[in-house]
Amino acid sequence: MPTLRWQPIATLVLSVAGLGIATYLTITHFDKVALVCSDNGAINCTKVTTSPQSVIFGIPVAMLGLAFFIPMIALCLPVSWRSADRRIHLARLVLSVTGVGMILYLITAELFIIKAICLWCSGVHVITFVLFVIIVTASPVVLAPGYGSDPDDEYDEE
Amino acid sequence: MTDKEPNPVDPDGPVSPDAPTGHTSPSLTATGGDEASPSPESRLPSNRSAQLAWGAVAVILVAVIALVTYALTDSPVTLRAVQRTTAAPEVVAQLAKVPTSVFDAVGATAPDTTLAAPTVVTGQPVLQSGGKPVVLYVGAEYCPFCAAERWPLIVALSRFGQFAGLKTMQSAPLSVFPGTQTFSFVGAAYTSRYLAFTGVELYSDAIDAQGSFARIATLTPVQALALARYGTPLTTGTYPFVDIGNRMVTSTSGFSPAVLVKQSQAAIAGGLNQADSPTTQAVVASANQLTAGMCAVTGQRPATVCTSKGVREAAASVGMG
Repeated sequence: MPTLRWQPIATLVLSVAGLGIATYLTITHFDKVALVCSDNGAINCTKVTTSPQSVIFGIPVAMLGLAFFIPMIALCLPVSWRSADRRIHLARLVLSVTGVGMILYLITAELFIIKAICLWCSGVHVITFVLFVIIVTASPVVLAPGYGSDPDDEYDEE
Repeated sequence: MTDKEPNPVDPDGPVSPDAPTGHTSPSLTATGGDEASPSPESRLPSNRSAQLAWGAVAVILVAVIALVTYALTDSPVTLRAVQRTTAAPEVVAQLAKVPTSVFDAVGATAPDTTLAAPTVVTGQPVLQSGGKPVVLYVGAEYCPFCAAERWPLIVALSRFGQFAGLKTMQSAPLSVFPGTQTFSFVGAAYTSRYLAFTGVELYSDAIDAQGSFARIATLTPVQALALARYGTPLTTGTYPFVDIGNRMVTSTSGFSPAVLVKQSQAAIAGGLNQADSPTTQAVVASANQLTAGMCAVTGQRPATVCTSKGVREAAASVGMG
């Protein structure tokens, strides 16, 4: 019997943590009082979060983070993981793949264009990657035919 | 999940001796009984699916490692020489000759710009040098927010004395608000009957062999103490920082560099006699607030400046009225 024990709670916790950081980064992006330059160095959140690359198609990347983690939280709720509706599991997988594609772009921008690293952003990148690992490796189970149709499919919380 | 059940995320994990590990077995489906619903065994992920999943993870991991490795080893450093030149005398003169009518008309109001007012400090001994109150500025030539802050600071200080040797500068091209036109205090001198001024530019806009902005100055212990005491509390080591005799401090620029972008130094300076210009309003309103702080440490001298309508309004706006 396929079971998912720790994946639902782990992805939910990670998504909530990611939402928290994305919220902080969104606030700092719009915080007009934070008109400062950080000390010269490779780790420089201000340089990253205020760079031209921090906005894509007019939307701040930090807000894209919110747009990623809010639905991800819904998709990682235990009830969503237990669902027999494959569309939910496909949506989670597609969102996760999109997220990891986005962080590849952002890491490239930080390393080669902005030439600075933001630790908060890196935290979001790590969370997104770990979410991707968990979701993509659990997807063969939850996307298997008939998953969730049997009450016994409910994950074991012990 | 028991130890004997198949591990859904690890094809090599513990597997029950009775459980199939491959694709759906017709015989198992038949013995499972229900034709409409696949048997539990038929829902097991195939080894191939699991391998694909872990393969995707491996590809992403390798991509990230490759990006970081390439950035750390082969990313070329673009050396850049300092772009500092002597400022045009007529531009410096325009900063020193902003009409009183403009100062008074603007006061502390810039309708099109969000101003970050300086903070009033009480209960501290006045920072002095040679018997005069000291205005301390700490910033960096590459820094766009420092670029914005220098405009009102120079305008305000020019009401109490004269600058010589100001340099033309622009914020770094790779930073936010690239190429914001401004000045540099490197090699500049300031003389005043009322105030002493120390302008410290910690970094130039030149990029060294390590790919960093070149360090060109260090803080004295007294300057470092002021920055540590009054600077941005959560992000020490940020600038611009201005300490007006320990009576007024600001650890951000008074307005966003967005106000200045794509404007030449001559255009910004030349517009300072137009009170209806949004750029002038931002510069002058911020300058009036800094002037109010300077008046607080000079004993409200010179009176022509410190009792002017614009400065009084600015003093009231920061809680000094």
